[in-house]
Amino acid sequence: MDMATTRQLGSTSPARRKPGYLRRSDRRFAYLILAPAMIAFLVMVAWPFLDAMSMALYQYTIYDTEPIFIGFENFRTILTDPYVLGSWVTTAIFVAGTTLLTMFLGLSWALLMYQDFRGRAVFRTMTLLPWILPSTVSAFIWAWMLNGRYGIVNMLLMDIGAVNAPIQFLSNDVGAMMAVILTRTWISIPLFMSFFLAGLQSMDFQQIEAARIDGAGNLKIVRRLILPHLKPVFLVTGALGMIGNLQQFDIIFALTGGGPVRATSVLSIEVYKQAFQNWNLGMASAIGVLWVFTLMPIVIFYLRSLFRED
Amino acid sequence: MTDVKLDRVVKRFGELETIHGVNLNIEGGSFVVFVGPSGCGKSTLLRMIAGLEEVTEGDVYIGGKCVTEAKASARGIGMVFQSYALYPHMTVRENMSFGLEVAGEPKEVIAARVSEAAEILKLGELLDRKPRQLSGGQRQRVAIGRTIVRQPKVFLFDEPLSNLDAELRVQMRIEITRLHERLGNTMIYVTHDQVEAMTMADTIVVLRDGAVEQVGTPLTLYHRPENRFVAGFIGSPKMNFLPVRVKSVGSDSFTITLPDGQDISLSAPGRLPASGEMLELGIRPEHFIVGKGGDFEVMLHCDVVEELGGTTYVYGEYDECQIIVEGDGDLRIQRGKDGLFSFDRDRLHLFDDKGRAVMLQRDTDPSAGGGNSVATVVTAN
Repeated sequence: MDMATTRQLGSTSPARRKPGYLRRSDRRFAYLILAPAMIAFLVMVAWPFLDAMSMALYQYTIYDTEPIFIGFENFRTILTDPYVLGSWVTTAIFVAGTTLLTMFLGLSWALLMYQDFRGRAVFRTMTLLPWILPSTVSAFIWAWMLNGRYGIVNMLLMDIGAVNAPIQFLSNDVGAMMAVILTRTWISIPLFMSFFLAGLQSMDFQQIEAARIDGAGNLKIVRRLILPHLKPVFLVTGALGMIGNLQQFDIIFALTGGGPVRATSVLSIEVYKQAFQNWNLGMASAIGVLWVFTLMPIVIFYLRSLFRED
Repeated sequence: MTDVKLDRVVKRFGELETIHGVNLNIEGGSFVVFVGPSGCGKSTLLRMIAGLEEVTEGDVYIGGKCVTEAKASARGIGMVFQSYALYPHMTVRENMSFGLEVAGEPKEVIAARVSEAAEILKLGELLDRKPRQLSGGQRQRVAIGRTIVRQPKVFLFDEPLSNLDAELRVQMRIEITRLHERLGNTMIYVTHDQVEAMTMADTIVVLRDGAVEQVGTPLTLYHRPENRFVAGFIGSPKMNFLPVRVKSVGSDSFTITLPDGQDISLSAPGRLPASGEMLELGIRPEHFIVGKGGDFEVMLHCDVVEELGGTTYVYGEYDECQIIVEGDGDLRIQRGKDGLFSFDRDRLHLFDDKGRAVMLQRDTDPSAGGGNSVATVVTAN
C-alpha cells in the first residue's frame, strides 16, 4: 500500500508543479497571511523611503515655504562638495577600521572562549556586557576613559612610560577616529564573538584532534582548519558588520558629535547635520540616497550569501 | 611490531574516576578490540593511548617507550575516528597529504605514499574529490588512508563503522581485517558491537565501568566467560539466565535444582558452591536443542516466534523465566503452544551471586582451537 501511494504521488506531483511553486489556492492564502506585513512595510518603510528619495530632487530649506523641484542639482552639489566627499571617505575609514578590528578581536575572543577552562561560562556571560549596555552609555564610558585629564587610558599610557603628557584623544583627528572605532568595536565584539563561537562549535572537534595527531600546532590548525571552516561566518559577519557600521550614528554623535571639526563626520552624521542643523532637507535626502547606494552592494552580497543553498 | 602497555592507568574527570587502574599488555602486531557498553571507558582508554586524553595516574608505553607525557603526534600512532574527521575543504589527496606536509616530507615522498595508500584502499579515482562528494564507506576509506600514509606503528580505531549502514559495515569490517593482514601493524579497535569484536579481533578486552572484565580470544570469551557480564555481553541474542538452587554438595561435584524441580549433577574442578546457595544458570539461545536429544529437557510456552528464513527465534516462558531459543530455519512452532527443548550439560554456565563464573568440569572443551591468538594480552587488572 505504501509503495502504491509512493508511485501515485511520484507520477503526479513533480511533473505538474515546479518545486517551490504553490497551488493557486495556497498562493491566495500565502498572500493573505503576508498582507499585514506587506502593508506595514509599504506604509512604514517603502513610502517614507521613496518620499525621501524624491525629496533629493527638490530644494527645500528653512527659507523655502514649498519644495522647489531642481532635478539632480543636489547630487551635482554633493559630488563636487569636498565636505560631503570627505564625509564619504570618513565613513569608509570608520566602516573598514571597525569591521576589520571587530572581526579580528571577535574571532580571537571566540577562540579563547572555545577553550575548556574553569569559569568559562562566567567569562562568556561577561563578554555579552558591552552588548547589553545602551550604546550612548558605552560612548560616555569610553569618553571618560579617553578623557585628556582624568582618563584611565592616559593614566596607563603614562604609567608604562609610553607617553610623557596626556593625549587629547577626542580633540585631534586621528585620536577621535580611533576613539569612535574602539568604542564601536567594543560594543560589537559580543555579537561577532557569538557568531564565531557558534561557527566553532559547529566544527567537528575530531578534525582538530586528527590534525593534532597529524602533528599540526595551534597556528596551523587555525590557519588550515578553523579559518576555512569559518569562511561562511566571515562572509556573514563581514557583511553584517559593514551594514551596521555604515548605519552607525548614536555612538559617534554621543562621543564626538562628528568632530573635531569634521574628523568623524560620517554620512549618517552628515545627513543629521544637513537635515536638523542646516534645515536643508533636499540636500540631506540627496546624501541619504548616496548613503543607501553605498549600502546597497553590501546588502545584496549579504542577502545572496544568506540565501545561497550551500 | 610495536607492543602497547598500559600500567595502572587511571582517568579522573574532576572527582569522577572513569578508568580504574587498568593494566594491559598488547603484543605487537595483534588486533585487539576493546568492547563494552556505552560509558564503559573504552574510548577514553583509546584516547589516552592516542595522547588525546591526559592520563591522571599510571603510564602508557608504546614500543617499550613511556609516552604518557608525549604529544599525540610523537607517539607513532594513527587514529581513525567515528566521524571520519576528514578536513571538509580539502580534497582526498590533500586530506591524505596533510600529516606528511606538516611533518615536512618532500613532495615526491608525499605523492608516492598517497598513491600507494590510494592503491591499497582503491581510492585512485577519488583523489581530487572533496569529502562531501563521497559516500560513507569511501569517507571511511579516506580516513584510513590518511592514517596509513603516515606509516604509524600502531593504528587506533574509535568506533569507525558506527556511522555506516549494516551492509557497508560488514564490507568495511572485512577490508579492515584484510588491511591488518597486509600491514601487520598493531591495531587497537574500539566498538560497542560485539559482532565486530568477535569477527575482527585476535584478542578481545571486555570493559565495564572503567575496568577490564575479561581478556581473551573471541572463542574463549564465548565459551568460557569469567563472569555473568561477559557471558551476557558476548553472544547474540544474549545468554539466557535462570535462577537455580544448590541442592547438595559432594567432594568434587554438586547438584542444582532447576525452577521446575529438575535436578542436574555437575562436577567442578575448583571452588564448589555451598549447599542452599542461589546461583544463576546460563545457557545460550543457540545451545538449545529442539525436542529431545540433550541431557536435560525443558517445556517452553512459546509467546513469539520470529522466522528469519535461515534462523528462527522462539521467545517463550519456562517456569516464569523468559527464555530465547535459536533454532534453524526449518523449526516450525506455533505461537501460544508449548514446545519441548533440551540442552547438554557441557553447554551450561553457572554464576554465583557476585556474578563470578563457577568453573565446571566439561567432557568436551568447545573453546579448544580458539585459544591460539596472535596477540596475547598477558595481564588484566
